[in-house]
Amino acid sequence: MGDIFNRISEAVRYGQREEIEKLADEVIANKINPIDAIQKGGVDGLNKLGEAFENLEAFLPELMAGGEAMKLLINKLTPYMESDKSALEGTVVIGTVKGDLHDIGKNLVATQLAVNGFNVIDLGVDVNNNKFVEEAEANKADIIALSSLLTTSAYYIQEFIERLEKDGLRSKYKIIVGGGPIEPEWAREIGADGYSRTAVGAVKVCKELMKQDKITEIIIGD
Amino acid sequence: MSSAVRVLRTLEKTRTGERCTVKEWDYEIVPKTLNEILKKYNLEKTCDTSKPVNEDMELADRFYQAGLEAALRLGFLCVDTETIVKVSEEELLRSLKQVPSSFTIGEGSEQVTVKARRPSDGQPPVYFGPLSIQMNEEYYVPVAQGILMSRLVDGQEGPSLDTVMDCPLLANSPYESFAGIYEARLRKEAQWRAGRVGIGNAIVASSSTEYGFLAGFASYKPPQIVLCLNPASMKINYVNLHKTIVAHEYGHYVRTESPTMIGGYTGGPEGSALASVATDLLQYYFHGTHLAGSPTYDLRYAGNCGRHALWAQTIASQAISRNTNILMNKTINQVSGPCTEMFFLETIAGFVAAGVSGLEFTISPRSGGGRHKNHLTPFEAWYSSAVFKGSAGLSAEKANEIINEVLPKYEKELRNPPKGKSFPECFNVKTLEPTEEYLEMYLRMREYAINLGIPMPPDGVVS
Repeated sequence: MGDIFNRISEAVRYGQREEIEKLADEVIANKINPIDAIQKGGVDGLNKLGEAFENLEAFLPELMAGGEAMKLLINKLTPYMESDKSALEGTVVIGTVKGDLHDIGKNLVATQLAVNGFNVIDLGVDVNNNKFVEEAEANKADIIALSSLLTTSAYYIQEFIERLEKDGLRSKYKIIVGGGPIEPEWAREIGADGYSRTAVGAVKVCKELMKQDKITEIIIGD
Repeated sequence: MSSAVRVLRTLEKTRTGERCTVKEWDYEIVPKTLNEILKKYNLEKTCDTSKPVNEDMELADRFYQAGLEAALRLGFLCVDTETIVKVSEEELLRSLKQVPSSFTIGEGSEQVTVKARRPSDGQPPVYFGPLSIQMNEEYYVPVAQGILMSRLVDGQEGPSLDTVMDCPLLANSPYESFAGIYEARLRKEAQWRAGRVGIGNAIVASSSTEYGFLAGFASYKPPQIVLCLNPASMKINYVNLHKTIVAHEYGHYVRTESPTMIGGYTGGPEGSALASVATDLLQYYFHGTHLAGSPTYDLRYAGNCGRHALWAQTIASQAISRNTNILMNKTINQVSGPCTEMFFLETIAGFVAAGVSGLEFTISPRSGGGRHKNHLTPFEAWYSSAVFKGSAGLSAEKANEIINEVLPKYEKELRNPPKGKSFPECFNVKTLEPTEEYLEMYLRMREYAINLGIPMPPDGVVS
């Protein structure tokens, strides 16, 4: 059993999608607990990938490949789980807000979320507020993540939250914000549910947001 | 070839180039191509973190050759058309022979000439300041005035605004047009107050799109430096081609940039250095650039005063400065804020490394990584410019001796740097008198730098 978990871990670490397809079939054929395969194999691979990123042995492209391999594993095994609940942590619609073309920080957060089992809908950069709402509705999102590296674009985040309130949609989504000029105090002031300075911190915040039905106090990440 | 023909040709290439999505470019083409080239030229694992400034000039030259190949194989991706714009070897080599090796900016006694430098060049580099840190409108003029009071600051970029007459300056909206005009007025006021009317400007800081630039543009007498900041990792866009065309046609200088990120699409320090060399080589061909910029940042802490980024940035600068006359601008991005010792230590490491590696020009400081509003004061610019100019003529070996003394004092804090204090916490904003605490720290850290062996030129105000 340990052997297949190691192989899954390895395949996720190196983003080998074809190998994951085969290993997922092997898990199903041998009636191995899918949750174990995901936790002891996939999550282990992701942890190794995270360590490699910190040590400059893996970079953003490898992180994304690992995240996609993990998503594939989860999608393949979810129908065989005893519980009906998807193994995905939740759905996040993410984008850099209008007027801002910076994408690396947002991509890093999107990738880290995918790597950690979130279904991520990445809207790209220079995204207007209407698009965030449309995509969140269409994809039944749990969380909307807004990024801005420019103070002058960050205003759109505030307008977005105000608009959700006005349209009666605010309670439907958890909102996490981040980016260079965003301070936790400001995130609290505008009524965001979560804030994080780093991509790893954003994953923790999103996981925490998913546990809570109603957010009464903003969750601040690392 | 005239600049107009050059940019028209680029525009045509954006329409007819090979199709490629941004995702394919970032996640497949760039990393795969860079890895192949690193392997071919034996450049993998060459980053020596014990020597943040590369001392092996044969290695720098190999990075140059590899960068030339990367430039030819990759070209740039235009994100608006999702097409790759490429250049032939003959065209690129011809354009490198035509690169301007100097330009002069400013009027009268404020004229400065940016000239090609070589590693350990004794000719001091040129320093503009500050680097677009957001300020309240009421602080804009005092802080800009304070910065310009030091003659070590050769030109102005100015802080940036996030409000215009108390209205929120929404990006990519007509507010940016107001901002461009308003910023020009504030800059002029600061120049008059500081007695530096003829100083050159890098325009426009408060607008991310072409709107602010086009609006403010008429307020500046050419030639000034026009900021055309392209997306990271060998990409260009139409926003900056708009600016480029207007800048060239009205006689301004063009400063383009596309940074590389350690940990991002360009990989580790070696891949990022390689992509920086390639980017610098391509910018004149495609934009008719006067100042080429491809700074390297470390994605893990969004700065570049740690070992890997220092190494990548210096070897890329050495490669370009030893083999071409391209005039380079690279940002030295401190992550700690004003009135912290860490800021001065980062500055020593970052500017000594840059100054001895052939860099011609920079715009600084980036106190607190530019993240915190009003966290900018005159002292950071005065100190950074003194270290940058003082490092002229030092050897790479001496630079490493200095850097290895200061780096261990702050490198563990790079991911969680001190925010420091704001302008009104550090200076009397009316009289521009610093607090005793900050003045003592500034003078002590100047003394510290001198004792390390950096001949710090006086700021002309308090030292």
